[in-house]
Amino acid sequence: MKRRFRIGPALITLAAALYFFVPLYAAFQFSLQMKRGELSFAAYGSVFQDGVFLNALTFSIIASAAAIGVGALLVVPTAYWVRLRLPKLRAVVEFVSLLPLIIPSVVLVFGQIRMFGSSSFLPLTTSDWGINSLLVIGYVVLSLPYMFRAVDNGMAAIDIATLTEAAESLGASRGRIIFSIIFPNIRAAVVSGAFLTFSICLGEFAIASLLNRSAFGPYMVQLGQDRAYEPAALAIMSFGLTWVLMGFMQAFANMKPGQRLFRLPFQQKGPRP
Amino acid sequence: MSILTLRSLVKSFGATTVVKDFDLQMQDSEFISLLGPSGCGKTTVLRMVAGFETPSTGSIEIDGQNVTGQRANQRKIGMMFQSYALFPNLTAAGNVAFGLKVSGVSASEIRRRVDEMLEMVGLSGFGARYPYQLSGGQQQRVALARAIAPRPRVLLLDEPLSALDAKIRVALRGEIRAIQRELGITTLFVTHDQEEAMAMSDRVVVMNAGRAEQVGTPDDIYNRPASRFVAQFIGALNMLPATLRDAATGLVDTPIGQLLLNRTMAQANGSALTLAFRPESLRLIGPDDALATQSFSGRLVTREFLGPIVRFSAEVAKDLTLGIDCFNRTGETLPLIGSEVRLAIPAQEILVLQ
Amino acid sequence: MPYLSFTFIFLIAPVSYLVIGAFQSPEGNFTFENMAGLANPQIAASYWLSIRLSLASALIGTVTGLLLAHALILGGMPVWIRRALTTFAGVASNFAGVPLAFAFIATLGRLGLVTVALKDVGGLNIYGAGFSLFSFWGLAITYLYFQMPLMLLVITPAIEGLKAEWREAAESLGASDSQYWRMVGAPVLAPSVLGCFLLLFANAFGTLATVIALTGSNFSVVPILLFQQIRGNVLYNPNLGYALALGMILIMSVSNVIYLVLRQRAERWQK
Repeated sequence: MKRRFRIGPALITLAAALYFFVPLYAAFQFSLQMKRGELSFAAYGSVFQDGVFLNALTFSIIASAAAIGVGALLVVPTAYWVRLRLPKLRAVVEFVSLLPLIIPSVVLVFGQIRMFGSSSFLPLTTSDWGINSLLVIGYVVLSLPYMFRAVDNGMAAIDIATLTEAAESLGASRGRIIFSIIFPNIRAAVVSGAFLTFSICLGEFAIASLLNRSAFGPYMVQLGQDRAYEPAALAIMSFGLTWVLMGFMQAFANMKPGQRLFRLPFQQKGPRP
Repeated sequence: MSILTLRSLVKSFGATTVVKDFDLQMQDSEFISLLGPSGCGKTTVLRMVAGFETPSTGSIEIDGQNVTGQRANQRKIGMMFQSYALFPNLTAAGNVAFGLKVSGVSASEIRRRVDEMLEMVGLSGFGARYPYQLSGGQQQRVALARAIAPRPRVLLLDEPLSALDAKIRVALRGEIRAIQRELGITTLFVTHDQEEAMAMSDRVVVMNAGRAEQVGTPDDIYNRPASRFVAQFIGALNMLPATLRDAATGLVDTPIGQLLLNRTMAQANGSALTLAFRPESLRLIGPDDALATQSFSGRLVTREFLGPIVRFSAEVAKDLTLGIDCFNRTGETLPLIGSEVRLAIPAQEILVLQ
Repeated sequence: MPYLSFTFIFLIAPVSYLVIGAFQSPEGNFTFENMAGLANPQIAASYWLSIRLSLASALIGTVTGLLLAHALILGGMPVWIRRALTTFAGVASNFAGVPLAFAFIATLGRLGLVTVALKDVGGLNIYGAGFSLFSFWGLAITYLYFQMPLMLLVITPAIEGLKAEWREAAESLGASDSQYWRMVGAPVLAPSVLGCFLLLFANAFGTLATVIALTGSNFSVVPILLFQQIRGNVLYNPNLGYALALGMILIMSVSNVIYLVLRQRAERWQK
């Protein structure tokens, strides 16, 4: 049955769209008002010229990248093994991967600080290197649910059990299977999880602040207390970046193994004449 | 007076006309199937009768009352879906009771009727189960009970057996037909499975591209197809090009020799015809068989043992292979692949296609 | 297995450390004192504030998300609008924390766009009337930005899972639209809606960055309290801090567990 255009739903949709759009517009407009009386991108310039900004951003990028690396290395083989050899462990592994959603990051950091403090068996909090590691570890734990779900979904989509059997019947060793068959086929899923992780870790505040790291999250809060216009510029840039990252995440999540993200003009598909 | 009358039903979606000028009259307690390939419009016709689609033009009358503008919930119909469509939050009993509850029947009467219906479909004692606890066949039985509980005037079935396993399908179709007969509910059944349609129906409507090609009993449809489409769609068919020699007697020239049709032909001498006959019409004959005079030879190319039937194909002329169905009678040895055989066909079983 | 070792050392162990520590005195003896200390008026008030804020935020988010989902899917909106808003929701649900707070300051702060517009155009001085972005309701409104999208994203598959045939079957049995919703549609959706409500609740309860960016450390919700405690600013008894943490874990666990149970129920029906 065709539904006629109804005023109620239209109004609701409009209200929602307004609610979402207005703060972005407000932030954008505000960010352009740094120079009195004229609209300019001065606030953005000020942000980029700030040395602290670059340092904080670089720090967070590196930390996030490290978290992605460690996370992938941890999750991919585990997901593979659980699917193939240890299905009974699956419930445990999945439950553990969901724990970080229940434990707020504040609580987690608290526990880690206490447990790996100066008098513990693994005094990570006593050295810069240790604290940075703790940060990355915290990020890995934080992103675990998303990374695991992304990789698990990717593996579910390609039926690795059958692929492994096929490869084994053709004589491949376990390691070779993982590297030449499994990894390439779930590459897109891993990348998708990576983008999500990156998005989460970049602006993360609680862990970074409690560990006294000069990461991007604490930098932003500090800026919010010190300045007026730059925070608005940051908000816009952050939103734009999140949008781009989410876009890539979706693109990779929906990619089929072997598909390319962008088709270059000279890469023809289809049978040769 | 007919229970269900469809007059000149037309349904278009934008530029595509899915149902073209469809007419049908259903008598009380009749079981009619709408049969046809995907996209022929049979489901659309059913949905128009149900009230889920509005006809572009034409009218629908149920029990003498024009219901064309009415919504489904006012038409007093019952419907079964391919995907069962049981309400997941209600038990089987709850599902069956739904139509009665909606119309405000008393609780005690509902209980009585639900028990009666569940017993009728063979699911007494299953009332407390939820749909996810029932098998496909059981769910469909509950769906049937639910549809007939409120005593609808017309029962509409939208390919209800297509999602079921073969054995259950056959069992359930017998049960549906038995219940339908017992209750005497006028029923319209949509399917793409010809065996189903022919086994269950009083009449069959063969549809093609939005039109009804033929309306008739299963016997009519199968043995006296009105058009080439019906002949080819129902059952298997052998076709033979022919040229008419003598219109008075029906003498024709074919690639397998001359055949005498023993009937007066309406076409002129020399016109091209297409002859058709069913695989079971072809007989394997010995040299002294009565039909030996009008026989032709062929070489068996394939042989499929199907249980009750053995299906052969024989090459009877260059690029011409005919299908032959023989009964599997134990004790009778049927020829092997490669052997030369003589085939004949009784003249009256040869169809001339339009 | 490295995964299990890793999570054990860096996730399970620290949390267990806190849980155990919540029942220990500074000398190491078993005690309920810390838990009793939670009844301390300041801390109790903080928990109550967090619960109220999370409930309010979850309620608003659930209702608005449901309305929006209904409008987009069943309300006859063109498909492109639905797709655009759903994509946006995916981004917005991740756009929490500090930048979100900044955007809202620019919108509803003292000199925010909407504040000024309401004053100039509508004659409404919302700050004069007592509203402040840096308060309970200001936070609730800000939280909505990631709560509503989350609700939308979770409930959309549930609404789409309402098979058209159920509605048709109900209609063929004589039910009106409202009867269908009352007897079939709403009951089938209920577990998903309730589950999502709890998800939103837990989400709001555990938020730290947004609150800090918006109100500094002044708005004493439980995460802030714990944050200050870890910083060493407020309480000098680390074991009380453990109790705080335990309280948080308990609340989050309970709501998440109920959410998972409800989600399982809903998925079972969608088969």
